Amino acid sequence: MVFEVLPGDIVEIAAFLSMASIFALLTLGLNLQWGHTGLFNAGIAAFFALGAYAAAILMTPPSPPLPGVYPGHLGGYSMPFLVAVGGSALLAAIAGLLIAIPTLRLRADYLAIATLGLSEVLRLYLNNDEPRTGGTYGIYQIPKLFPEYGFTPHQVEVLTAVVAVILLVVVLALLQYVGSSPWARVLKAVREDEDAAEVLGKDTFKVKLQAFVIGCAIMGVAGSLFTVFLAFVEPVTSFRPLTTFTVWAMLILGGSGNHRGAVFGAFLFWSFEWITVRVSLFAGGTARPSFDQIDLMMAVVTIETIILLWFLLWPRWRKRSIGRFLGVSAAILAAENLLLASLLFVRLPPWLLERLALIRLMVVGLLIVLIVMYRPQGVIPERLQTIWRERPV
Amino acid sequence: MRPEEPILRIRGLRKAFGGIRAVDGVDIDVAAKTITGLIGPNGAGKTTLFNMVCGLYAPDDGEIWLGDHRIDGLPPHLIVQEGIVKTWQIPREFRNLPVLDNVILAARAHPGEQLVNLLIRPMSSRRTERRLERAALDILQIVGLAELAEEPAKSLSGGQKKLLELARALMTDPQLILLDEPMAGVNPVLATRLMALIQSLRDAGHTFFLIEHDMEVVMSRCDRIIVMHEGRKIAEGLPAEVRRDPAVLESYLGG
Repeated sequence: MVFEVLPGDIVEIAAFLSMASIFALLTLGLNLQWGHTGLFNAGIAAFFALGAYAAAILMTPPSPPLPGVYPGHLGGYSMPFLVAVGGSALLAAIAGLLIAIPTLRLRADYLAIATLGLSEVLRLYLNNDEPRTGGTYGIYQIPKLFPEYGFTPHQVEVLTAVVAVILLVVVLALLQYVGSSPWARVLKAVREDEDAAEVLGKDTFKVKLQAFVIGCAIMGVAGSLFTVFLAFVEPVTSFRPLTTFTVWAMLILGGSGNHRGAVFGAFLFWSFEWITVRVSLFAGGTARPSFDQIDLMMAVVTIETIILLWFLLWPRWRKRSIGRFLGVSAAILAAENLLLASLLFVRLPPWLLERLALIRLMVVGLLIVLIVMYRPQGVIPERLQTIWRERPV
Repeated sequence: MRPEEPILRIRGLRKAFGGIRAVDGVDIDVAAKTITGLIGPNGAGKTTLFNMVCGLYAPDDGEIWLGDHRIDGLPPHLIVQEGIVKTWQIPREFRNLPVLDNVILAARAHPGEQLVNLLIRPMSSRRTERRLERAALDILQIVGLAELAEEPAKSLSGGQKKLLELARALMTDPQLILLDEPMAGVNPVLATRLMALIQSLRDAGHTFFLIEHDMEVVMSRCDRIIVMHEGRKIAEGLPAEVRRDPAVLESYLGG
C-alpha cells in the first residue's frame, strides 16, 4: 500500500487541523481552569458560543432583515479577523468575570451549576432572539480569512488551518511560560487545598478569578476560529452541553494539569471523531469511498491505535511479554485496517445501518471508559511541579 | 521567663454559632518571644479563637491587635501579610507539589506570583525565586526535611507533614505563629524533637501561641498558659500556677 497525498487529502487534513486546533484551544482553557486551579467549568459551550457570535457580528457586512426569509442580526461592522479574535476573547472574558465574581466565593459546585445554567440560557437566547442573533437561522456570509488576497477555496482551507495552528501554538507557548511560574504554583496550591493556601497568605479569590477569566478568553478565541472555519454560526447543534463534555473528555484523555497533554488529548479525541464519522458515513452507503479516502483513514487509524496501545498496553505488558504486546498490536492493527478496506466492497444490513450513529457514540464512550480505567492520569500526565528549576537541588 | 511587651492583644472577643457562644468575651495577651499555651477541655472555644485570629472566622465582637495594627475581620491572606500564620491540626500539605515548593509558596510578596510581573519583569521574578529557594532550603534544613525537598509532599509521613507545616509557617517570616495541636498524631520521639525545635526557635526570637492537649508538654515547655472553658478564659499564668488553680482542676475533673 503506497500512501500518496492528494489535493483532496490536503483539504481534508486542513479541515482536521482546524477543528482539532479549535478543540485544543478549548481544552487548554479548561486545563487552566480545572487542571491547574480546580475550577469546574460546566459551561464551556457558552464561552465558545460567545466567541463565535462575537466574531460573526464583528466580521459580517451589514445584513438587513429579509421579511419572511431571514430575521437579520446585530452587526455589519466588517472588521478584520484579528479584531474579531480580540473581541471574541474580550466578550468571553467579560462573561466569565460576571459569572465568576459571585460564584467563586462559594464552594466549587456552585460554579459548575452556574456555568451549566449560563450555557443553556445562552443557547436558548441565541435560538430565540431573532432580530439580534438570526435565531435558528444563525449568521451567514461570514467572510473567509484575508479576502483581499483572493485565495482559492482550497487555499483558504489551508490558510485557515495554518492560522488555527499558529494561534494554538502561541496560546500554548504563553501557557507553558506562565504555567511554570510561581503564579501557577499558587493556582495548584488552590487546587490542592484552597483554605491552606489562603492561610499561607495567598489571595485565592484573585488567582481563581484570573485563571477562570483567562481560560474563558481562550475559549472565546476558539469560538472566533470556529466561526471563520465554518463561515457561519448556528445555535442548534454547535453549542450544546455535548460540546462541553467533549472538551472534558479531551482533557481527561490527554492528561489534566499538563498543557501539552491537553493539546494531545484534543487531537487524539478529534481523530476518533473524524474516523468514526467517516466510517459511519461510508458504511451507510450514502457515499462510496475511494481508495484514496480509505488510505487516509487507514493512516489515521494506524497512528491512533499505535498511540493508544503504547500508552494503555505497553506499560502493563512490557515486563511480562514483549512478544505478546507486538502480536496483539499487530492483530488489532490488521483487523482495523481490514475492516476499513472492507468498506470498499461491503454494504451493511439495514438494521446495523440504522444504529451506526449510536454505535459510533458507544465506541467513543468505550474508549473513554478504557482510558479512565487503565490510565486515569491521561496520556501525558501532570509532572511534579518544579518552578524555573533546571536540575534538582 | 516573664512576658514583657504583648505582641498579640485580644479584647472582648466573641463568636457565636447559632445559639452556641463558642467564644464569649475573651481577653488575651501573648508576649513576644514566648511560647504561650492555650488549653481547655473539648468545646472550650480554643480552635474558634485561633480561627478568628488567623482570619478564617470574622468575630461577632471584640478587637484583635497585632502590635499596633488592628487585624480583626481582615481576610486570612492579609493577616499573613500582617505577620500571623497558623498551622493545621491535621496537616494540609499541597499533596502534588514538591516539599520545597510547599515551602517557597509560603513566602510573602513574591513578584513572580503576580501575573503582570511575569510579562514585564521576568528577571526579577526569577532572581526572587532563586533567593527564596535558598531560604526555603535553609528552613528545611532547620526542621530536618532538606533531604526530601524534591519529593512530592504526599509522600511524607504524618510526622514529617507536621514538620512541613512548621517550615511553611516559618517561611512567611511571621511575628506570631499559631500552632493548632502540633503534637497530635506525632510519635513520642518526634514530639520531643518537635518541641525542642519550637523552643530553640523561641530562643531565636520567634513567638508561638499553641493549642495542645498533651499536659506534660504544655506544663514543661510553655512559658505561660491560658486556660479556656466554655468560651471563657478561666485562668492564666505560669505553668506551676495554673496547675494548682482550683477553677482549672474543676473544669478538667469536675465539669
